[in-house]
Amino acid sequence: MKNFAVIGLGRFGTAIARYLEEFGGEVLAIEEDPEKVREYENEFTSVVEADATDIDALKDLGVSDVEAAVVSIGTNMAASILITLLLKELKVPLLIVKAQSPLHGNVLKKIGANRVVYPEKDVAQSISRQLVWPGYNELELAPNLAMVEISAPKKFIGKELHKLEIRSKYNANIIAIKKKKPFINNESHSDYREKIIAPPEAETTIERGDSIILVCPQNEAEKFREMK
Amino acid sequence: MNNENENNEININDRIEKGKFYFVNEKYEFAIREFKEVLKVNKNLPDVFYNLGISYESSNDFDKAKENYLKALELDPEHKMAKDHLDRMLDK
Repeated sequence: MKNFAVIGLGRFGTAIARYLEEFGGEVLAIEEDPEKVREYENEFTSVVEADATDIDALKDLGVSDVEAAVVSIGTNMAASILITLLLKELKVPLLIVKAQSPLHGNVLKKIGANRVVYPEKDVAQSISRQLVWPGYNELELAPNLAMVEISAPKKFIGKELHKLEIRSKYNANIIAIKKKKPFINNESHSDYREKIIAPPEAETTIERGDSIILVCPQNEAEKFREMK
Repeated sequence: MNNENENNEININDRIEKGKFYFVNEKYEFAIREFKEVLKVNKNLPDVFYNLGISYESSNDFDKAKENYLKALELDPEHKMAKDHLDRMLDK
């Protein structure tokens, strides 16, 4: 079984620890607030009250044996930097650290964090995107490669996929079509289920209400945003 | 007077049922028309705003869907379906 350390049980740290265990990992959670330790001690494999800026404490807890550590320290930037340094010194193979600001993120990268995350920024970006371009979503798969979800534009509706010439006209490949299937639920409310067709056939027809999921170079994704 | 109210009531329920029938048969434009007619007679029906919202959402008109979910929630802040769909739209 894979084992991980999560340092700091704030909202992000707790969510990470929950998912790691849900996906079958074992979590060693380190938190200095005794109240939080009590709150979560039955939820994760091991929850320890300790000061993670103390290298001896980290050594005693066996942090050097984990496969990866996630540092999720809320407001104390100095502590987050120091802990990252110590984990590096303990040769933790993979370090993922939450940053508060780009400056903080730069420092973390310089001292050896493998991945710096900005959870608030990531969520803010996704919510803003939905507000400005509802129905549009974008995920970076690799540098300059994006997976894009769009609502079927009017000009695609009623057409079979191969007639859209997506590859030649838009430099994109359709990997799935999401169709909405309406139904009335047990409480007699209208609702719909999503049916995903992946991969779609060349003869699949695009209907009103469909979403199209495609892969394209990131710099080409933009043109799908404004398509109506 | 009573009779007239009763007739309106029947008319409203008929139209709601008709709207839902169109909705499950993916005839969203017709469903929208029925729900709008109902709201002309009575604007205090959160379920109908919700039904209008989901008909718009199903036809990928997310701005209008959002607008109608918000109206449903204004009338009934606990309307679970409207809440769930609004969350889902913002959470993608």
